[in-house]
Amino acid sequence: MSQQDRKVSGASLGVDSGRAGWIHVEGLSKEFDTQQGHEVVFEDLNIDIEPGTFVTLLGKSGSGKSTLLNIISGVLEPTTGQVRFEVDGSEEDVTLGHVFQSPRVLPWNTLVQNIEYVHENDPDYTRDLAEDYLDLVELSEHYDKYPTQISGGQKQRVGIARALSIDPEILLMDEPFSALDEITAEELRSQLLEIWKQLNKTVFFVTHDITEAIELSDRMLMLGDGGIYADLEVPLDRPRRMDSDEFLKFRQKALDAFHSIDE
Amino acid sequence: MDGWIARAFGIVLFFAAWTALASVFPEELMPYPQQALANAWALVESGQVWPHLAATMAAMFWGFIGGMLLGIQMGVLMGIDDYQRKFLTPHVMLSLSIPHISWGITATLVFGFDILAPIVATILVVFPFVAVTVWKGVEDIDGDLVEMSKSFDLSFYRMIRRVILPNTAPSLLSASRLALAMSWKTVTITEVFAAGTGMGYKIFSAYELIEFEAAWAWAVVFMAVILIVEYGIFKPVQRKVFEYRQDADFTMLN
Repeated sequence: MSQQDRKVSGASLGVDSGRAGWIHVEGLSKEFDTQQGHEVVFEDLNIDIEPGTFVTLLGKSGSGKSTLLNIISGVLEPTTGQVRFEVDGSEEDVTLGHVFQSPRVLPWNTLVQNIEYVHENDPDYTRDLAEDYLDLVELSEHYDKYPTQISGGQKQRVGIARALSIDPEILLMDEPFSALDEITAEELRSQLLEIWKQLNKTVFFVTHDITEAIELSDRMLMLGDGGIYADLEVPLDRPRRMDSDEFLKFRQKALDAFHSIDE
Repeated sequence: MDGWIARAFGIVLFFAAWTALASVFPEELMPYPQQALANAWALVESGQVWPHLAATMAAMFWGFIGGMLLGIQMGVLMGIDDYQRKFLTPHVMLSLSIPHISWGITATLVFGFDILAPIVATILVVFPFVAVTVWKGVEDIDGDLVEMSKSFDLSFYRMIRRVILPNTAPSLLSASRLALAMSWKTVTITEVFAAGTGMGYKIFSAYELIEFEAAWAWAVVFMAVILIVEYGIFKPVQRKVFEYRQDADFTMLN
């Protein structure tokens, strides 16, 4: 069966494409004590991200993007403030999916086993489910291969499939394409947008690439100088053409906003 | 195919060197390979080998297990906790330096002519080598995979079984290889002092009675058992554990 034949849709995965979550960041601050002294990464951040939207977080290196994402994901504790998640009015049982900058796949497990790994005590898990999500990211011919037998871009797709397989309401992505070559990254961006359209999840995507942010997102948040200093709605219709006048104009506006932190 | 050719060539070279040396020394001191192999086979056919081999294997097995368990525990503690590392390092380093024979004699003095002597001596020899190897393996655990596991809210037990253990498998396999080699040597040395049975005892007895041909025969049987363990147990385990490393790394391990 060819990859085209095995194209999988959200509906065939049995995924409720309506379940996407709110992210509420309330009064969030993070400070560190380092050898150089006391460092304030950001303070009093307040962000509300609507369900089903694709939001990117930009910032210069060292601005605290990954720190903010790690706090939202629960890996780090904030100094003050809190992060709340909400699905259909309830804050219970909200599932977060994580995609990291490096794929972080288990090299000693096959691709199917890598998906299975995150389904501990899941009575609904079956091998078919793992295969379906690998089909979604166009890895149909590699189910029982090891990560050493596939490329870097393919490994990152496994990371995406793994995160989606737990049917999260919110997908957190930390510069997932930054380590890839531009051709592979562009393929994965297109694929991610297709999957997002099918599954309608809330996506919070960290990137340092303005063009990538404009291509992907509905809304761009710019982090720097201890806070969100720009919050831009992306007014462009999808699919977006990077060589169109509208795209280039908006890109310039975003760049101006990005550089305004230096003034 | 290249691996088999290399192994076959190594074996041929070994026997060629042995034959060359045997042609220089008197036959009573160093028999030719074919004579030594024939004498070894005669020992096996006569049934004399089995009780002594069983005694050596039993002591080796328990010493190996004890040394691995103690060494793994210490290695893990040293790898995950700074205080434990500082506390245990001097003891491990000191133990590494003590010769096998010293532990053999000490164990014999304490336990007398009992199987406990070679077992305890083996544990004391083996554990520091295992501890150091496992310590380094634990330090090299991929923190990204641990963080990934935590981000998916997986249990500690699942992380240990599916991430920590496989991640440390190379160092555990190295440690067990080292431990096995140390165990053979320590048990046979201790059997010289502390046993009325075992392969080490029989080799030394033959030497004392100036029956060098018999000593060589027992040594050949011993070498054959080591090779069977290496190729019958370790290699298949290694192949299974590193199945996912299909290319260059696996070739290096071979």
